[in-house]
Amino acid sequence: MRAALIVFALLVASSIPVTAQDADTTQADDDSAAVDDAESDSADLVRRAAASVISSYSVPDMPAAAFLGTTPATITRPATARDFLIGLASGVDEHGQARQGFALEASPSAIVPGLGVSLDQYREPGITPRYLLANLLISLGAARAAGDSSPTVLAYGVRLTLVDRRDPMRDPAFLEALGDSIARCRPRAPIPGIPRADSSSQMNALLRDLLAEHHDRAVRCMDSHTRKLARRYARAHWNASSVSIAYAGGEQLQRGSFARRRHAGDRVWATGAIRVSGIAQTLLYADWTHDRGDAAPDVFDALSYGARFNVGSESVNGFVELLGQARSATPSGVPGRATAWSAGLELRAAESLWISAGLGERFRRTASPDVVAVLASVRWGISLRPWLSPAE
Amino acid sequence: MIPRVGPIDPTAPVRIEVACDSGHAVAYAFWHRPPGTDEWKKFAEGRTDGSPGERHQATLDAQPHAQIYYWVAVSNPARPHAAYHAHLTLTQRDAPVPHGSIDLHGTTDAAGNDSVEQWLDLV
Repeated sequence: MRAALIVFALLVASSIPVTAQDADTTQADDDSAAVDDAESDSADLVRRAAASVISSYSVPDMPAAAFLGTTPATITRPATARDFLIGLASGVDEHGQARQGFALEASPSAIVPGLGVSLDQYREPGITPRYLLANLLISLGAARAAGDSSPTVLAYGVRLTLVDRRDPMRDPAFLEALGDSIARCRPRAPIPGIPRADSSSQMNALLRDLLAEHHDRAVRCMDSHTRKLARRYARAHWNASSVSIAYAGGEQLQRGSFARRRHAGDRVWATGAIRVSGIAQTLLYADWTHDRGDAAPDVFDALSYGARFNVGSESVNGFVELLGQARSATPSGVPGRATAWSAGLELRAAESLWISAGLGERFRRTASPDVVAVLASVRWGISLRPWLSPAE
Repeated sequence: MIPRVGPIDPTAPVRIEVACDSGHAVAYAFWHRPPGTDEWKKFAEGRTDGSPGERHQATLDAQPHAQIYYWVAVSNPARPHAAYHAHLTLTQRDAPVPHGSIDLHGTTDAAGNDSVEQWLDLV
């Protein structure tokens, strides 16, 4: 049945002008020639905004990286206050300048002694201070735009989940199943060859290797069990309600120096999902970007917003959405407001892989018949990631 | 370095408690090897079962030069790559055993899991 639906969607996508959307596709369709320059600019801005929004229709996992527009190759995630300080120090080079590519993410509840949150505290009903603390993440990052003379931008961010009805760690049934799953991976016996306590019970290379082998085997086993469990849970709660917010700001550092810094801008995200019976969901999105525009005079402040209604299941959805952007301090020729709409059908072809076909602005520019919408994890933040399908 | 825990009072049982203050589910198993023997015997295992206020602890009659091998697993599939903090605490007659507080911390993998195993020498 799934295969038939996918084939149908492919046929639809490739046979009619309103076809699939891909954020990287820039081909314009014939209709766009009919609009005047200002409208064209406006539509283009909306599409670009839509593409960026759609590619992350949820509060970003790491707001600092989203502010920088980068995907860090390596993220330092300290587990203790000491690790945190070491991580911070690694962001500064021997000349006291910000290091390129630096990225750090930390949970205050993990690194500040005394702020730990036990599972019992986390599960207390309602939005408790401990719950909020456990769902608070801070992030830092540094990057430089192309070109030797470009300033380094140091970004800082914070992300907070206020409500999440799809959070499995508050569900006793899930926890029981999770406990069962990981307990199945316990080793049958200790590693062999451990010296007796009355002899010199020291670690040697062989014992270290055996411990590492045991560890890897146990973790592989746990990964396999818990991924299946998490996927099942996520699918069963695909339309659960949630609210998340995030903020990121940045400083431009001339030649990487902290002494010569200038505020680079701010960005705020908010998303909300509202469960509508068992088969539908309403999603709301807002993203405010404020940029001082010191380096780029054509940059303006913008509030991007959107609303979307999904009806269906975790694998097949009909949707209607409206995107908009209100701008201020715009350069001449750029309209102060723009909107776009779309509606269509989405099918989950595989884990984190969606096929989408529909009508409206989102689909307008990708008329190429060989373009099939391959939207990985983009469904307005209702995808299984980031919560429950890691590393798919 | 292998932790040397004690001195142990051979006249009182040793209680071992596993606690996690980073919101992870846990599973554990403990083995014991009496002094002068080569055989390990499992004396406790457990896991998060979803009930509120659950505690994870085990009791053992132990002597100096005995050994305890532990395996502790943590999991939170909702938070991949997250820091975790767990503790093993050994007590006798409700008093902490010297050097009997073992910190287990690290970062989980992409699926939100990690495990630690190691042994303790009781002295």
